[in-house]
Amino acid sequence: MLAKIIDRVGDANPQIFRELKERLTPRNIAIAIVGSLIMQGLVLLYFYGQLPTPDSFNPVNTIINNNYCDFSFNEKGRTYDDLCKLDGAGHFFINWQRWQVDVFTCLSWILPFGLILSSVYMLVADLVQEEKRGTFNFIRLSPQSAQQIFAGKILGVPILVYIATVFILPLHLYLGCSAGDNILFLSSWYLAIGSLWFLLASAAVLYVLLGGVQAILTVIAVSCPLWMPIAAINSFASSAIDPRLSPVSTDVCWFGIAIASNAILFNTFGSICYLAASYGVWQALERRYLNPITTLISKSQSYVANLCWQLWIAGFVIPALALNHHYDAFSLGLLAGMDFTALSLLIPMLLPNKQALQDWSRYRRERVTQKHRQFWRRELVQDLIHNDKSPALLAIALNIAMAMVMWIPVSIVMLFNDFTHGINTLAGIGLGASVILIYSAIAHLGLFLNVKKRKLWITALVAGVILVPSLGAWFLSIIDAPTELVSFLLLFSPFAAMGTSQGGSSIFAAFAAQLAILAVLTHQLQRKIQLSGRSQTQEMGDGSKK
Amino acid sequence: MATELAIRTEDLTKQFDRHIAVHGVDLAVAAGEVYGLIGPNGAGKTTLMRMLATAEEPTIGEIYINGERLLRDRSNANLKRLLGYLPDDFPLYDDLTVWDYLDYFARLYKLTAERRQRRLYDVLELVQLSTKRNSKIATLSRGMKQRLSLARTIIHEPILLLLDEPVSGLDPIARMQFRQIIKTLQEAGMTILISSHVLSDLAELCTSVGIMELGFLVESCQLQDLYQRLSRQQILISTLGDLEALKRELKANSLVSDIEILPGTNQIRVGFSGTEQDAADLLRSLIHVRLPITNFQCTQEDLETIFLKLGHQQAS
Repeated sequence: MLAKIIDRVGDANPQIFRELKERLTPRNIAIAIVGSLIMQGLVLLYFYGQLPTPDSFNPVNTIINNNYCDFSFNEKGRTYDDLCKLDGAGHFFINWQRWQVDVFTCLSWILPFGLILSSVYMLVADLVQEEKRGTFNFIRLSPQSAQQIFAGKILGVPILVYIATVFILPLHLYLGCSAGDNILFLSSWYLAIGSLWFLLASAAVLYVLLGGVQAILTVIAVSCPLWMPIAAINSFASSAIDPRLSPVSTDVCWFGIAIASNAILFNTFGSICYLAASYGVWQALERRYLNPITTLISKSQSYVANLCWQLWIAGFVIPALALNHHYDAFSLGLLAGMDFTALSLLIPMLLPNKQALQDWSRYRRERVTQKHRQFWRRELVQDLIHNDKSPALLAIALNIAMAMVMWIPVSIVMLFNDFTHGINTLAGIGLGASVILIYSAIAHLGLFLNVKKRKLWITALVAGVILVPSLGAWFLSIIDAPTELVSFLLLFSPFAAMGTSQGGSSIFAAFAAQLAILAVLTHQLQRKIQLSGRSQTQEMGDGSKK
Repeated sequence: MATELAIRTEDLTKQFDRHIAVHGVDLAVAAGEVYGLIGPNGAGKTTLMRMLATAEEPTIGEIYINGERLLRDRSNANLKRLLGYLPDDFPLYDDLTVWDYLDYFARLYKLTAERRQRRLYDVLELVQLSTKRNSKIATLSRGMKQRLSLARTIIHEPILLLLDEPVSGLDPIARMQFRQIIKTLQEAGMTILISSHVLSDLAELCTSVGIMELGFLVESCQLQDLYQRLSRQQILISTLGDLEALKRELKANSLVSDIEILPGTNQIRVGFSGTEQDAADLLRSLIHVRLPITNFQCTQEDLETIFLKLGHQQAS
């Protein structure tokens, strides 16, 4: 029976077939089911233990306080809101709905955490083993698409976790309904958690393709920020059941839609965002599957992805700007920070492999000198904009320019409200942009380091350039150094906008200095690439003559 | 009509940092041929094979399989179905049975259920692993694992087989079995590109050879042509009579060179540049002058000698 099911599934996706063949044994299935049931039993037992029991009731002292007592019971006009009540038979009146809400909430934490962390761990461990063993290369040589293989991996490797999860669902669903939730809301909850799981499972696969090896470290790294989306989803889950339990906000708007005003809307919005991000991850997965040394995304893809991202951000920026005709500086700062981070992430995504860069340098030269000498400039620009093997500086600059299309009007609007603040914001945006380009140039130059773990060195180098001015400014502020000095240092950090309060001259000096640094770095990079290309060409030319 | 080419490469080059592993290789292998790729370690054979197998992207140059161009950063799904690649290391899934392992790869190569069953039986029989079909891979010997890898490589009936050092590390019996399987595949019409350090095996199997040295393909031709062009013919002559008289008589023949009396024997070894008919004429002339010839044996320099001579000569 089981073999037949696996065979059928395997016809649709061979990778699932391989994963299920290894894992889906009757013994493993039994362990997964029993484990799931035991876990549910333990949760129920724990919460059952939280109920007030008649044995613990001391008849002398009738004041007993328990979360699950029915406090709404009134006796002859007296209020006992904080005391447990007994019925005629000596049993407590229990607020079962509250108890069910708590068990439901507990399961709503255990379920996504268990599902996501176990899936991520298993996927990373399995793929690392495949890479180490060398078997993954054979899969790559097959005519199967990346989608088929990775879908098989994601669905097949953690299959026992999924079975355990499926056996939790009936209790979770029952508690949710009993606690007063409707099916539509619960469906949106499952959709949101499912989308989050899919995004993180896909990201785990990509992490291994990028050279990640430590499964347990990955789980730790994922679990730290994971509580945030789950907390958000669950807080709205609680609010849907009992409005007193959690705040429902009408402030968070996306293009005028108050997405946090309704739990279903919030979950649906979250799901769409997770799925859109997953789509991006799958594009990268496909690229790395076909060519393990290519850039994570192509330059063309970066423009489209950035456009979508800027639109997404704009959805939050516009309402924050228009809030009661007075902009919300905190939200705008937060969004600008997110945008800065996203644009900085384009550096590792678009940074070409050193070999690719050398090859591009060599063959562009050959192509230009042999065929299209008169148009070499135009071809160079085209290459820099579209060719994934060329340096990514111009592409990153173009992406920054796309972000500017939104942020410059924002600062102009701010300028009308508060001139100084507007000017400072404008300066902060300009400085932030040039800082990203400096990081990018440094990362490119790092490609030419003659060291063994080049990627690690590049990361350390860029991290150093990011952290040194920030930490320096922090240290100076602690030792009560002059504010001007602290602000000036901040102008060279990702927090440039915070250092603009000192006004004109220091901003101008910092901007000029940054442009000078950028010019030197770019010139240095150009020289390195040219040298690298020339020497290889000569080497090959000499070889041919022999 | 021109012979159809199973593989054609144009200016195929692969560079790793500053090292050019494969340098402007123009390779042409006709359909149905067994093409031996020989060369010392680091000559670029494995890199060339990996590029042909789509496991490595060329720095420059083009690859055509069966006339169709391999595209960069594309899945090349149709072309991959035509290829079977056996690398020099053969990682396997130790926890799967032989049958499940082959079944998995048959599915990866999109064989229909019916065809899959048939192929699995056929291939297991060909590689002599039918009795091991339910055994876990971990329990197989090295030779069996090698044969299983070959079975995996041919499960989808590729038209082009790329075998990189397929007999390395095998004992003589396993090597012989492996050779036999390759002969069977050749008879079935597969084009086979094989690299090996065991040149005697290649000499027995191949119809054409390519010699690689320092990333260059220094020679590529039919094996017969190579022997004709480069293999010096030798004749070993034994006599009961006077060796000096025999030597004198041989010197008189213009096709004979490098006459060498083998010390401690009554034998002479000479280089000979004539045809088989010329050799027969030589023997006839020796008998005609009443020399007591007891043995007249024509031999040729083997592939190993040619490789040593040619590879180093061309590369330097």
